[in-house]
Amino acid sequence: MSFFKSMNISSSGLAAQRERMNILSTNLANAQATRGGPDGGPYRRQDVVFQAKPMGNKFEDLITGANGSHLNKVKVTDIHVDKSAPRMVFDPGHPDANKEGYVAMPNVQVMAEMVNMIAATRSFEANATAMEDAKQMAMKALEIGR
Amino acid sequence: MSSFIGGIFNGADKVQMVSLDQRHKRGEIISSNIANAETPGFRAQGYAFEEQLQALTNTGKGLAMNVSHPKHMKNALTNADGMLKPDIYVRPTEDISHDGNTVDMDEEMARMAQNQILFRSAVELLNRKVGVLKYAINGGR
Amino acid sequence: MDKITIGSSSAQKIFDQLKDAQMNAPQIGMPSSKTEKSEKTFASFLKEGIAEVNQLQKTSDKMSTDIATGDSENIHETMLMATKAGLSFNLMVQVRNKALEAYSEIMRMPV
Repeated sequence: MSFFKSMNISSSGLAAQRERMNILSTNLANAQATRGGPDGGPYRRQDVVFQAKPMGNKFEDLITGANGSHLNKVKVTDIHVDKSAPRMVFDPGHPDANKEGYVAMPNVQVMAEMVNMIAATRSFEANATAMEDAKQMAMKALEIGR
Repeated sequence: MSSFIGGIFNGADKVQMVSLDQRHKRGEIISSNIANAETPGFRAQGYAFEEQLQALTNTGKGLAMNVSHPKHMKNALTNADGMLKPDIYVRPTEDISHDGNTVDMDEEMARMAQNQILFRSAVELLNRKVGVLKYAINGGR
Repeated sequence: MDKITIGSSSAQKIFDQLKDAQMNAPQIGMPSSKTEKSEKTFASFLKEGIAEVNQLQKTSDKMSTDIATGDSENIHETMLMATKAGLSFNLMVQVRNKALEAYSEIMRMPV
């Protein structure tokens, strides 16, 4: 019906993927951080939680459910901290080593984060293409009857 | 008389002409938002003119203007830019980043695309009307 | 039409017959007071056509105003309506041209 709704939805997807990218970059950058995590321990990896939110910020749309209550934007509602146990690495010379000589390293798996980053990039591109296509359709509609 | 009816362009065309100017100004606001996407403490701005335009044209959900004197123009579109007082407001948003910046780049890009589409649609509709008038003036030959 | 009397009776009969024939002949292009209610004249066709074209123009104007004020975001339907309005206007202009040509050709005819 309207091209602008689909553009708004795509832009919410772009914003969500950007936030996901931010979190993934944080994870990667802090993959070796042994301080600064919750409880003073090593860094814990974080995850984004997406939620589908129905469109229609006008009150009457919410009441009547008309005009696209099946359309959903996406929103990052939560940053979930992964509470799994940190990796213990044997390094007695490290300033943060415990008395057995083990250092608690963050539970970040670099390969997993890289794969997630690729997925986030593809998702971002897909949303950008969707927005561009909606715009192209609208431009084509302007040429009707020319 | 000519200023009231407005020559060969009727009321709908005047609405389009006014909207062209307003959309241009809205584009400027959006560009300033995008340029300040990294400025600390910058709040994204919006430009609202549609409700006022509706009220002036007595269409849609807008209210008709009351006039106190019959000689006052009811249809103020001939001086519309003088009558329109659009609203530059700070757009309310839920996301404020840590440096106080509320510009969401993707939302601004989407708004810019929408603004551009509506601008071009106004231009296209005006072109069509001019084409029809030219055809009538030439008598179809 | 007044009753015109002519001198000789046979000429009068011929004149009456001609007058009857003229009254009953199909009236092209001229609104006739003797037209039956079910017949439509060319003029009424033209009037209806003009009214339809005007209605299309008004609808197209309303839809384009809605786009400008943000009431509607239905670009493709607005463009379709604008196309319809423009084409029907062009058609009406051409019909007018043809009707004028036909009229002047008829007027040129030597009676």
